[in-house]
Amino acid sequence: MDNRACHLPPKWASNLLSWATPATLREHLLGDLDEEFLQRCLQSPHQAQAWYISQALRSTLQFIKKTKRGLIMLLLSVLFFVAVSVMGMMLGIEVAAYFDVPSILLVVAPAVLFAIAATSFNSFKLGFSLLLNDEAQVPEAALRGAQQMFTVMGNSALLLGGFTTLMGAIAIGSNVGAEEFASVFGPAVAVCLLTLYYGFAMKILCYVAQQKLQFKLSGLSPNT
Amino acid sequence: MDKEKFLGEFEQMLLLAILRLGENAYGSTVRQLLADSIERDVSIGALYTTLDRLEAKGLLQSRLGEATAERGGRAKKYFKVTAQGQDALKRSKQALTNLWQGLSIRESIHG
Repeated sequence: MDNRACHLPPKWASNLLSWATPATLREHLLGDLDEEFLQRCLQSPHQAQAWYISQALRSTLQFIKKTKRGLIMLLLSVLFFVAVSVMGMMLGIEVAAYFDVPSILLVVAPAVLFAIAATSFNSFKLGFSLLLNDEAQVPEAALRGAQQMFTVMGNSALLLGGFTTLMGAIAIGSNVGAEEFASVFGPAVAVCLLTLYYGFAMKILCYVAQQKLQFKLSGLSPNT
Repeated sequence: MDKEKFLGEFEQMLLLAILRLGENAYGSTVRQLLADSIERDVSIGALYTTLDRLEAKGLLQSRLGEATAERGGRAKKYFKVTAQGQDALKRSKQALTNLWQGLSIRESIHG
């Protein structure tokens, strides 16, 4: 028998269960599971591991509907948004025409940096962690800071989208001559508008995140 | 007429298990008793969800116990059936007894 395997249950299963379990039950529930795991492990480490994983998965499914309702709804709504957007793209032209890495970088990178500069890196980290954890209790000032971060990021993305689109328009106006106008103008404008498109997409997501934190600030919870 | 709801099957089983275990009733022992005596392998999550609900209804009360190394330093939560819980159990048993009276069900025969 491998005694080393008896010291600890699978860490990923333990972390998953801890994440899904309501804070009020977490300590006793995980303690009970550890205790029974150790008893079973003395007889068969492999069966004990399998038993622990089964318990952790079944219990996670039991709790996740209650404790992570907000997160599940957020993920579903973002997935729906992406699916509907892709469907809209496919109705027009090739989906690939909507993706341009330099345009994404022109909007997303400065928007993130502006958001951190205007608030703080802690607010940036806290904002995203609050979206993943509905149960987290943080001081109101920290919550407002995280909300402000999403506001700055969304507005910056939108303004950057407009700004870089104007830059593109000026470049087109300066460089496209009469002879190549018919063949170049359309594709050039399409690329130029992509930054505005990304700016709007980021603004929508940041708006939802910001409103989710507003909901939390109002003392409400998606789990009740 | 008494309009209080009757206990569900699992709720009755949990309360009875806790009564049987007496002073040593906490999540792990309750789970093991159910597995040994009625061969029901419940998940610890389902167990605690029901225990929490019964406590909120006032049918159970709990106290914190000791934290041991084998539990990763986490405290036990001991449960005890309240007088209200015992009354609810008796009412549920009485209701089933009344319904069973005068009935006879043929024993099924399995190899």
